[in-house]
Amino acid sequence: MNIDDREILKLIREEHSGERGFILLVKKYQQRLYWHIRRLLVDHNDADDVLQNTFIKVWQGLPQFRGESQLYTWLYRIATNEALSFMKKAQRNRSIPYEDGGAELCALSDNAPSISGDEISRKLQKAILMLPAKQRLVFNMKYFDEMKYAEISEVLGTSIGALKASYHLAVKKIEKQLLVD
Amino acid sequence: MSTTNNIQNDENKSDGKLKDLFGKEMPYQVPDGYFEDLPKQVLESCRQSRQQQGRRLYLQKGFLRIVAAAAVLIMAALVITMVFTQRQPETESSVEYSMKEIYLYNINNLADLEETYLLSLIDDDSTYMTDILGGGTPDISDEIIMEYLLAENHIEYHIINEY
Repeated sequence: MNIDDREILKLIREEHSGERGFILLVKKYQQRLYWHIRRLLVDHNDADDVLQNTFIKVWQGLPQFRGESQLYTWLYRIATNEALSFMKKAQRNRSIPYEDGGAELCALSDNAPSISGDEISRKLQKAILMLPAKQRLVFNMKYFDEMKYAEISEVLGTSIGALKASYHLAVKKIEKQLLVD
Repeated sequence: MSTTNNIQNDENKSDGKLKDLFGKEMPYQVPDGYFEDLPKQVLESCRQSRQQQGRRLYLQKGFLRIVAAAAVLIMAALVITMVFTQRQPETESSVEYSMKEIYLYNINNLADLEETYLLSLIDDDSTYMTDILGGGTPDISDEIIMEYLLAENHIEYHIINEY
């Protein structure tokens, strides 16, 4: 899907093509946002709920979107906030302690039917899930989504220096964890 | 320039070993056809949320109307209460006369007073009421009372002479 973001926004803003434009936006970004959320929440159903809520928020917020930031980073910001608030809610309900519950998330990743993959990628995921939520977020965005520090900074509202430190720490922890295994 | 270069260099360093060893493959699976169906599902959810939002707005407007009506009623009740509470003291003050008012009324309306009361006033110390009611209060003089009593034939002239 190579359609330009400006073209999508133009379609969305015109009354007769608004829904068509929105469908194009969903098609363009659904996979990236889904994986971004899924890496944080592990479970497919949770990721699906959060992704749908993300797109509803996007739909509601599009009239206010002024294009001051890139559409891509704006979508990531909404998805991240939705995922984080889901994690907080889940933590309050004690169903999954997302924030520091690497072990529980690892157990979930071992047992969930929608999780397979080879041993190596599972090991890596387990090591990532042992990270604190913020470090996990930064690591995922940098490692898997290959986002620039400037873009991550725009999404998370954290300084580039802090992001570099966070990523460096995350990599060290993962390497250590993988060496132990 | 060097800062930009540093950032560029930093972008790719530190995870090189990890990428070589582990790659970026995800162990997670997605149900078949999930991404094909998602845009339609999302659009449906958005439409529903818009309807719900519309309903919520409608309910909010209804609620606001009720609140506005209640506010008007409360204001009306307050105004009525204020009017009554302001008028009540006026009614009471018209009933409750001060001693001074009664005295001044008596001076000007001797016909309303009983003969014995008027005679007792003649016996009174003439400065009594002025002392009680303060300066500036006109004193009811014996002459005024006697003239009145004579004019109205309440007493005989010889009785006055005895005083």
